[in-house]
Amino acid sequence: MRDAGTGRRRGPGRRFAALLPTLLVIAVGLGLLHARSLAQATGKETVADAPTIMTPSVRPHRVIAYYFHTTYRCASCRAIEAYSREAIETAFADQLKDGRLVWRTVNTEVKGNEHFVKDYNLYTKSLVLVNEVRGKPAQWKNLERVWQLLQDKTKFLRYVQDETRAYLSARS
Amino acid sequence: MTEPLLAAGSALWLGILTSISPCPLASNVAAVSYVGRRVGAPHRVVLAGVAYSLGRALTYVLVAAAVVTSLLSMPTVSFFLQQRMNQVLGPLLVVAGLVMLGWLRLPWFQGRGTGGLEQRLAGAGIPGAAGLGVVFALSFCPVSAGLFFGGLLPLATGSGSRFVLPAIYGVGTGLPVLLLAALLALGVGGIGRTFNALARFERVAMRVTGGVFVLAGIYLVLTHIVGLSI
Repeated sequence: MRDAGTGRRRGPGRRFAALLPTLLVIAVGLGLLHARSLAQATGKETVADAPTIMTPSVRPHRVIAYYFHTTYRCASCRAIEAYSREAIETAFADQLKDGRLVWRTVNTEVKGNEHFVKDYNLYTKSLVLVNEVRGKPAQWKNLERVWQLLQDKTKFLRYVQDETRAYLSARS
Repeated sequence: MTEPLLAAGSALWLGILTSISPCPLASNVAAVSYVGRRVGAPHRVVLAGVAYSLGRALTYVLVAAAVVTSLLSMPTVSFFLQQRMNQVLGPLLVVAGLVMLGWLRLPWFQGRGTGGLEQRLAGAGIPGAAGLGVVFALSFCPVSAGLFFGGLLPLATGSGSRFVLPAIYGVGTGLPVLLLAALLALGVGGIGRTFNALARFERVAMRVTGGVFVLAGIYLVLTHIVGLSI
């Protein structure tokens, strides 16, 4: 075979040398994929990521604030989780204590949690309020504006607290 | 009259919000370096920035069309684009960057047409920028998914402007890249003219673009394939 640039004949050794960086990139890629599958196989998921078990409600009516995420967690996603948690814990400490309000974080990529994507029509990391009646979700709302209010923490906290308050007062 | 203007302004703002969040930072940096690499010709940089934004706009119009006409379900499209596209984009950027740097030769591309792949990639110019806009817009991140599917689509369907608003949103997502690239081109171009060293600047810019592509690709590989939280 002749080299397109120089017109010189290229031997098998030269051709292999030209292919070497490409093979290296492919090998590194395969290695990374293998590392990922190994990490998943050894089960490094945390307790918070374990499948959510729907235990019978202590109260006939309660509101569950779900934060749904995936294994990949970006900076904005972590901020949304932290702000949401802060909004709920600072304004509804009593309701959290007596079980009228429950906070849960769920990884939708963990086996057993995939159904949440369909149940609540999820398309990204989401904060969802669920009104649970006798252990079954009766009504839910995806607080979609969290993404738009992320740059303004005060408005973000007020939005989450107002929505949660409306849900609690309507059903408690 | 004010309602459509308000809707258009909101769509543009949602696009800008998407682009300034930390999530698409890697692809934005890669886009700025690619679009702004022809520092000696500011008008070409601006045109490439416009092409990049239009590429993004086209993608969002097509995704909106697929979802609004119920051709595809929203969760399916969204999760597929967030997970799979970023997994593909990482290795693709690494390979493209290595080719631009001249460190990687793809033998099956050599000799076809005029020049090697690295020349064609580096010299792809305005169509290349539009293509980059399409590919980068397809690799959704959680922020763009949240703002596009949760903010833009309800706004577009509610105001009866199902395709114009996604296009405006797309331009908004490309706007900061366009502005940064223009500033970069004007600034560096000015310095280059002062010191009569434009050719050297352009060679450096090309190398920087290749390097940025490799780094952005490695970042995406580590976060989306290896699963590291960075």
